[in-house]
Amino acid sequence: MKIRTNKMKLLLLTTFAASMLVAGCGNQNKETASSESPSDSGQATSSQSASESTAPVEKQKLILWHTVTEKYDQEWWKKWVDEYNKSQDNIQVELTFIPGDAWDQKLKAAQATGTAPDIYNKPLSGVAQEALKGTIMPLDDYVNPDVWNDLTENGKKYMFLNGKYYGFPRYIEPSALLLYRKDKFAEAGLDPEKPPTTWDELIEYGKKLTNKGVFGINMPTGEGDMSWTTWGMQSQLNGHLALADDWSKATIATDGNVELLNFFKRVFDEKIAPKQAIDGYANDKPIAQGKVAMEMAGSWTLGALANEFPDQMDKIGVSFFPTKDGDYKKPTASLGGWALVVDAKSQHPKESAEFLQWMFARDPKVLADYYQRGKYSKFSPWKSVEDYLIQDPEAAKAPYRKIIAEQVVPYAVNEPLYPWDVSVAFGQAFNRVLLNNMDPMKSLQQSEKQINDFIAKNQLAGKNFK
Amino acid sequence: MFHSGFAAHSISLERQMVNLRAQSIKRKDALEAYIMVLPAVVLLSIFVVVPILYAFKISLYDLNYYAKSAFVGMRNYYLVLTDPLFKTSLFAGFKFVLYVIPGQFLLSFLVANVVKRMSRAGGFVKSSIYIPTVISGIVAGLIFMFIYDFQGGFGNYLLGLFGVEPLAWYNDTRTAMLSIALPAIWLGFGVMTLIMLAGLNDIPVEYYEAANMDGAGGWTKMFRITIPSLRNVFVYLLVTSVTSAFQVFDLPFLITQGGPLGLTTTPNLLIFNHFRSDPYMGYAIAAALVMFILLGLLSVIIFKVINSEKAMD
Amino acid sequence: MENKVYRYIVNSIGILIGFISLFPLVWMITSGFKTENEVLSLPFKLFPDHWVIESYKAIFSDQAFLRSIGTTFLGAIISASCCLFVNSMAAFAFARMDFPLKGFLWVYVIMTMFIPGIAILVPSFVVVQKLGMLDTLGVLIIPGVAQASWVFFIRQFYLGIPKAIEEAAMIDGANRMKTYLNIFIPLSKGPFVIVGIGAFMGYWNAFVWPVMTISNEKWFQVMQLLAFFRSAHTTEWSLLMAGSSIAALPPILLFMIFQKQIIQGIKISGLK
Repeated sequence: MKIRTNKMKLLLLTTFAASMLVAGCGNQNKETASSESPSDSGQATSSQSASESTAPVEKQKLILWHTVTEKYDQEWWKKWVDEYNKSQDNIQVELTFIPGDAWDQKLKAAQATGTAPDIYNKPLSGVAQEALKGTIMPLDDYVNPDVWNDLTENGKKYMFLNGKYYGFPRYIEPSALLLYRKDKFAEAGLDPEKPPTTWDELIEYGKKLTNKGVFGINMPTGEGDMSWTTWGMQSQLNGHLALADDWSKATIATDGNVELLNFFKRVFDEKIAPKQAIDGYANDKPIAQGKVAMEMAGSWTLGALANEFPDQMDKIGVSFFPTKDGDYKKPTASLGGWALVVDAKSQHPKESAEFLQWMFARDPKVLADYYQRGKYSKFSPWKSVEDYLIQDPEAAKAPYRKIIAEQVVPYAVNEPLYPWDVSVAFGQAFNRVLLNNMDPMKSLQQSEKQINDFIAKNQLAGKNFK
Repeated sequence: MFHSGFAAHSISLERQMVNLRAQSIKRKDALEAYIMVLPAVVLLSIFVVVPILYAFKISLYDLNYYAKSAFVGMRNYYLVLTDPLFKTSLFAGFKFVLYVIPGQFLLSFLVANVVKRMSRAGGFVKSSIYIPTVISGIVAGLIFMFIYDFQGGFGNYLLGLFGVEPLAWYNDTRTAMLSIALPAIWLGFGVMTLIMLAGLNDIPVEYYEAANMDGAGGWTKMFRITIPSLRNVFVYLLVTSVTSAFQVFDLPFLITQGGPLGLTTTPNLLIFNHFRSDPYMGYAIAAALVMFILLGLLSVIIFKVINSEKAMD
Repeated sequence: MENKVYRYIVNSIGILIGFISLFPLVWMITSGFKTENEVLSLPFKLFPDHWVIESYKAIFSDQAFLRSIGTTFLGAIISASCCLFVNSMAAFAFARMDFPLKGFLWVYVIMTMFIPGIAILVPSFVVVQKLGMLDTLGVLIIPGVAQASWVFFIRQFYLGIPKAIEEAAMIDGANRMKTYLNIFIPLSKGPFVIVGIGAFMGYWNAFVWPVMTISNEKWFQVMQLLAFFRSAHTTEWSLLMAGSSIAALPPILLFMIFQKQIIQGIKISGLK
């Protein structure tokens, strides 16, 4: 009994002491450990040991946070950040991937203490709101102005805000396409080379393709997804998105939007689409596994399919998402994507800009490598990279790239720059009709009121970017 | 305490000596006591008290970490209390409580009664209902997302057996609340059952024997003996489970994201959403402090209601 | 005869409930043994047609996952030990000693029990950042060590220990600290198991706090990594379920080992 008591005491005391020690030392560890290269690949070892012995000079650290997306995305980042760190002796970029579930808290907490990363990624359409809040930095002072001339029109619209440039866009991708299974088309007696082009056809085909255990089409569900996936269609039927040009009021209670809501309602009423999207919006699995015969999806879905299910690719057809009247020369999709921005409180804006220019405005090969890893499912906001890709025979071979480039991208709209809350209010208009059987016009009017209240509360009128 | 020894002139020297010794022991005692409570008090001060004071300060400002913050007095509290979304979220919180607590209570009570009457297999049941308690919210959320899968999930398979059409669990206004309540019940009913079981086992057998002699039936015994004897246990469980259910965050965050149509946006999820989307933190923190007061009131009300009943008999 | 039937029915109901309660976990574990194609295939199957260990193999060959299990385990053990020491010591002083300002300090400690976590999330972050604790094991452990509810819980237990026991020790010349270490701690097995396991699970299952305070992959905690995993493998259910199973295993094992004491301890906590 006595011995046991002493053991317990000892255990408690030592662990307590140990924890204090760890707490104290861990902090110091950080300082020393982090100056090493974060790369874990075997190839880096030789250069690393060389630099350790010959370069006693401390490199300037830059912190870069990135959300977790496709595996090839992470591999691309690791490769090129590594290349950059090896290419010069002044700057060491430290790359951290952060899961989406936790991104917001982490960034917010860091911003609260002024320790936000120097560089982080942001959806293209989100850059504008951050610029408005003053959380990110205009980069004009640190970047050679010629760099911006290489931006495409789309790229410029997202980055050039109220006369200043706020970030480096990485890619652009249409948010809505129609993917379909050619084999299922053939089984149902449909021509595999003739995907539906109108809403009516889509529903008719959907009925023929819906079987036991197979849905005709996977569509976005939930107000979050319906908010942004329908931006293209909202423009198609309205000629504009949810707000008036000066952001003074909502403009969504229109006949065009009533038609859009009715189209969605028909799709779900006919039971050709699961009421709860299988695996969420634009996932590659349901169509690869044949759980659905068609899918409304983004161009990134093709990249995922080509990477994860290469043997299924010859069964997958791609088309613009059907329009009301079958004319593809109207917006069917919006062009989203991601950009890199620099925190407004960053102590190293110059170095950050230097790194970003090295990545995006030095050699088109860097970004081209990314598009290649994504199996050419994404498009470039930089003219030089787009030109480079045109020369790439592999890109020409990707069967879907031409269809998307010719039938979708030229007519697609840019994502809105207004706050996300506005889009969600529109998404709720869908759900009131789909889930509560509300009259579409009434539902739109209700959302319009929600949005107008939001505008008033946040003094949004007149804030649109020039 | 200190001068008592000196004040008493009349007491003998010997007595004084004893007193002085006692004082020195006491003083040594006090020093030891301070050393013993010191770590806890210091840690709580640094990691709870300082932050809450800071939080209160933030709530009085239009705090923006990237621009000058302005002192706005009670404006954030005014905004919270007049925000219709805050009211909706309170409503959602209450609704969640109503979905979870009665079911959980009833289930736990029944299971506790069943387990009490079980022979050896009771141990198995006790363990198996407790195990979900140790599962994290992240894992539970993942498991239930998996169960709610529209096509291959277990939920719709089960409904299919009864010929019911597949449900869009978390994307249907009728079932969204249910789909976050089910994992909450699953995670929580084990502990509740075990506590009730402990309460049941504490009721003296003589009560039942006496009732048997009077020829009381099962229901009579249940309502006359079992339930009244468990009153204290019920109060404890009610207060703790209602306040924690009202604060649910991870399940709606992971499963419904507060939708559809904001029906499952519980107060803490609303606070969290504000916290992540505005550059201004004042609102979120003011809302959290308002919640704190509301929960305190709720606990007091539950105590008062049930204790006043107690006073009657 | 009637009694036997009754017993039979009661036992069946109980066992059925036990199985229902375990079902989601069993499904989680067996799903990890399915292929990605089989995992949500129709019709529903609890057990795979072909048991494959690819998913579990993938988890066990994932260095980051193993490391996070290791560091989380280490952190949880240290955290639980510190919790026991700090809180029980304070509980002892509050239960058995007299000192000036005792009443005030007691209220001060208990008051912290009612402070909502979400209100102090960001302020707490500001504090640990100012203290330079970010990206250390310390930031995961130290802020959670002192817990008023555990001080309260252990104090309740100590109040119930007869005075005579310590008086005997005092006569032998032992001071209070010695009494606490030599007499009270050995008597505390029951509440210590509850608090220790509670602290261990609280640490193990924590998600938001580690994500906010840890950026260095070296210190990634297990739930943090699971969320990371979820982002990277959105709908690879077999892999996700395998990962979840592994992440959920240590608390379950711990429970199994100490279940007798825990169930006993719940009795104390519920009826205080």
